Amino acid sequence: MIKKIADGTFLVILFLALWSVPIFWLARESETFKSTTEARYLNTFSSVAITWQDLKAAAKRLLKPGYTPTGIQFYDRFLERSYQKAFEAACTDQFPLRFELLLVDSWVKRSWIQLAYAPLNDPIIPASTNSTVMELRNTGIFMWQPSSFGKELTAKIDQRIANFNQIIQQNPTVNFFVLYVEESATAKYNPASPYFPLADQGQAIQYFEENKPKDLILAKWTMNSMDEYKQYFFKTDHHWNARGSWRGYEQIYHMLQSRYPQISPMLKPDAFLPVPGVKFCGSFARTALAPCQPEAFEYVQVQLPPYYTYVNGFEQTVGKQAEFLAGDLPSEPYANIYGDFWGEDVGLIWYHYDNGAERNLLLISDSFSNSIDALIASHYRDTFVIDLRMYKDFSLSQIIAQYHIDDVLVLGSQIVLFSKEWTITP
Amino acid sequence: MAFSSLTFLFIFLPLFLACYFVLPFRWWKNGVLLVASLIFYAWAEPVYVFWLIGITLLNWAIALLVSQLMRRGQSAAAKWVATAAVIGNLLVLLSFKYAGFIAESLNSGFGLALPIPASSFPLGLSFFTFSIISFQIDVYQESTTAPRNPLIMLLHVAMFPKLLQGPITRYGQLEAELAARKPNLEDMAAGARRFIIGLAKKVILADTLAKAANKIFALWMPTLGMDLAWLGIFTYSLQIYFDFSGYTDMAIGLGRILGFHLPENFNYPYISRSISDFWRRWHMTLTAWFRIYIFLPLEFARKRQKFLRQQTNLIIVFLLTGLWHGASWNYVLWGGYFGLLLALESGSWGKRLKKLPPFLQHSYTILLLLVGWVFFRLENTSQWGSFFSALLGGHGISGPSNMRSLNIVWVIPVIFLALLGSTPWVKIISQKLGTRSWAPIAGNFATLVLFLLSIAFVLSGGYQSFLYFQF
Repeated sequence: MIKKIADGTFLVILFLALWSVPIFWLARESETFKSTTEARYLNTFSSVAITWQDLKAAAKRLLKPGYTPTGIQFYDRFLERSYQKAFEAACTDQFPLRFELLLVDSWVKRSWIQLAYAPLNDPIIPASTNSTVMELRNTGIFMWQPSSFGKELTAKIDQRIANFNQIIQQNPTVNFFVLYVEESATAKYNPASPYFPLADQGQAIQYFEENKPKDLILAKWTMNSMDEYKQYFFKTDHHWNARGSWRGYEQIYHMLQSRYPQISPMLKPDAFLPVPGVKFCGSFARTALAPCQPEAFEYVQVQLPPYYTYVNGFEQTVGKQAEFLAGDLPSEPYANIYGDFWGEDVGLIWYHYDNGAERNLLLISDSFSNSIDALIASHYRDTFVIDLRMYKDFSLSQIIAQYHIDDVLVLGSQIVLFSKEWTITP
Repeated sequence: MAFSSLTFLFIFLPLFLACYFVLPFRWWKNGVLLVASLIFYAWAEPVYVFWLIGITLLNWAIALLVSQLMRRGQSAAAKWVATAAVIGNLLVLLSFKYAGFIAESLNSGFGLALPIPASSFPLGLSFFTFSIISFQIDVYQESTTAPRNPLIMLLHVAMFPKLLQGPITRYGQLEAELAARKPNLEDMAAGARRFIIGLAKKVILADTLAKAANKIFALWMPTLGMDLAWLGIFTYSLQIYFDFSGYTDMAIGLGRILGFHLPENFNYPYISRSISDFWRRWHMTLTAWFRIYIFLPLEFARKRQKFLRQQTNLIIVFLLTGLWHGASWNYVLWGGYFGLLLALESGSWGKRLKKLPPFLQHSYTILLLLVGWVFFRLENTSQWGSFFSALLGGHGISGPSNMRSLNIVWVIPVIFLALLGSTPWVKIISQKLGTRSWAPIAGNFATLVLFLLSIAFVLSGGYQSFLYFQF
């Protein structure tokens, strides 16, 4: 009798669970929502909605082989199965309690990791099963798994050196600068390095420095210990923090000064202040969906001359600093605070200062420069910040001619400096 | 749509179950099941669904003709028609799935320049073609009768629980339930539990093991150390078991919810003590099909040949079994490998094997199975030499640092969990606990938690296609 009741209850609960989801989908308004956690617009059912016209057109296509309406139809999408994929994507993104269930999944997988590493002495273990993010045990500090140094990487570095040689030779009137930002993946102090025999530990940048073009001015932003890492990088994010980025600005300033003697005086910070109310769980915690001890998110309070910004050709402010400081904060867990505050990665940002400077700068960088673009730009009349991942059909010579570029600064980690995707098309 | 997709679980299934159980009459239930099955198939194969309907109804009409001929005493004509139907179905299978393979093999073997047709065939082709062929043969042999209603035949072939990956069923096995079935509470609850366990096997175990196995097999072979090579093939052997047996559990579970008792396909194959034992436990419906329709007829046809008759028939059958799995030489050689082992075990070696301690029998079996999975996993036969060299230590040891670099250390506890799951221990323990009064409640609660966990896993990475979809 107990078994019958138990089985009956089980089936009822299961049936209700199966039905609760489509009812939730029907009851919920389908709205386009950009997840700041995932930095993408979530798929919705509105993108896979079928109208009566779609069904009529499909029926016509089936019954009249010669009937070919214009545009991509539901019929075509269904035949090539892209509709089905989009439907499943909408089901996934709109699933009730999706984020909570993702945390459950993450918890189970992290338990496997903890169990596997329990008998081992590793001070740092993977933060998830499907990324290269690692976590220092019991500290809440995340960092990259060490990247490897070997023949494959040196071949890539050789290609990038050849690329730099080419662009320097083709633009003899332009100064080329590189600020290499050392991330944990290539750092000597990474506690995981002893367990990764091929760990980079600074070998790649050393190879680059030994073989770079002599007219390329290189500065290296490096750290020597875990203490420095904790001081200059976020615990839960792969970016440098306000203090680290300020240190980077200072290094850049001295580098630029070597070829730009009339550069305006270096800026001085008024204060390093936390953005009120922000509990920052950054990209590492977000990637691993790991439990996060939120940290403060600081910014540098500094006096800048007035300037204008144009993002992909349109005048607009970069980032949401004003909103954040006014208390308008994202509510999503693991929200991309760094990207929201400093601005997302876009193809082209143009900074214009009426500061009397006569030089223009081209800054090629990824998100690492977002926090200091305005600082560097304050020493130039016009600064063009380009993210090669987002900029279509980049041509250095065209940019130099179009915008009258005097100095080119490449800023970033080993990815910006050594990977093929960041090759600067002459 | 795959059983582990959210579209299936939360749109198709609840809608279908509601319609199915609301309708009172068996024929309406069959109608709903048929329509739902065709929608299920059309979702994945919008064009080939019409082909499936056409080929099934054509075979039904032929089977009806064969039945009539047999009733009229025209057995010779019936034999010709049935033979033509079987050959026709095989030719269809050949042209869809093997034309490219045949052309490539002839080109490379004989220096020809035949055009190689693009490989594109309906999902589940091998499964339902075998179902149809067995139907034709059974009708001719009068071990079953063709249904008067063609939709019953279509329902048998296209029934969505078993359409894409089996179990391969003979019409006679489901004939009675197609005509009359009444799922009771116990069937439905047991079916639902079985489905959820299958879902968990697939998305929690198989897909997780796949992540580690794929990373190892993606390495450049000459750099693969002995430890990683063994870990890779061991992980893969568990992956493929849980992937396929998980799907089968879902199919059988769904069938049971609807009142069908589909045949079992797996019986803890990794506790086998010989290769013969393994093939009595692995993909049982496929081996049953080959035994009934290929092996036994071959034995009968060649009964005058005494010397090595059974052995050569085993090799032939398993070469075909390998070919069934894929249009590629690695599958054929995989099948031939097992055929050879079975041939050896059918003789004096098998008798000597049974005298060994169980531990040695089991170790022998597992070792040979792992070797076999190498052939199955590596489609590119040119990699076999390098991989076996790795297994024998020819490339040295990778060391634990490589596991760290690949981020697969975490797979070790999953492997232990999978090993436990691949033995009858879980069943034995749950049966022992099942006698307690709280067992039904606890068991059902645990199953619901497992379902929720499985959904969490589905959400985390989309879903992977079932391995056997390509067959």
